[in-house]
Amino acid sequence: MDLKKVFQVSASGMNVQSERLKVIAENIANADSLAKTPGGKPYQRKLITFKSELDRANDVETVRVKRIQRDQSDFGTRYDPHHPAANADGYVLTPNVNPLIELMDMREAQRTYEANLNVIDTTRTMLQRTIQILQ
Amino acid sequence: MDFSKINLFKALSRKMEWLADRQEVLAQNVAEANTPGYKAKDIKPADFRDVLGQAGKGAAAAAVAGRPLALTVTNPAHFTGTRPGPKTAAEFQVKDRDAPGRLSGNDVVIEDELAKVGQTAMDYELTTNLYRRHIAMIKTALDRNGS
Repeated sequence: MDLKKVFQVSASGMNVQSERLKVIAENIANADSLAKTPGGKPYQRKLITFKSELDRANDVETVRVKRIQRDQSDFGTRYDPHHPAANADGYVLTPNVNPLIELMDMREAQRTYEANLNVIDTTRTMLQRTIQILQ
Repeated sequence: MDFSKINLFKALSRKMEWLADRQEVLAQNVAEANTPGYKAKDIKPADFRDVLGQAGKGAAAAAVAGRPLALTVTNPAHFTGTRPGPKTAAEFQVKDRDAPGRLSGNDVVIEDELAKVGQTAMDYELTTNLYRRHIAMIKTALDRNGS
């Protein structure tokens, strides 16, 4: 039955979106994580990318996490000479996490997750219709 | 009684197969909505001639080969060159969208895909309902409270 493959594809889509949400949660949680040593690097934002992958056993193209990378953009700075993580000039590097961007990303992940859920729901209805033929 | 030998049921089954295939492609589009470089796909529209070719009496030879529009065979030893098998690349259409692509190279519009999923589900319901009605008609003929 071909419709059962749909569940697999949509489930893989939901899987990567929840993985994405995990990365976003890490970013938001660490938005204020500073360096441990004077002049050291604070938390560096993480980025997630996806790729499509052929599931040879079932002949369907599913989606997988390609890799989780670090965001290479510049850190913020804050003048705080008494902070333990301050460098020689008295500046503390702050993480390159922008809460607004993370929230937008989170909303997009949620919408995509819901879209996948919607496809599963519709497919389930279609399967039910097929079963109803026998009734 | 073999339902698959009745042309109408054969045509309806083929339509259901096509809709299931389409649902699979659309699910893939939604799942890959955030994959860089992914292009939205759609399956070729179900052709009236395809359905008829599969189900009609005139194309009996094609029906034997299991594929519509088979090559003419002048000798039984000839290969028809049409084998039923997994979907070929030609059965998929990559959309040529007018909207400018995004920087990521991904052109999936989730709203469009979900609208298509809804359409497919409705068509599927129509097809299965027709199937049920025709079974009910046969049951009527068999006098087994088919109404």
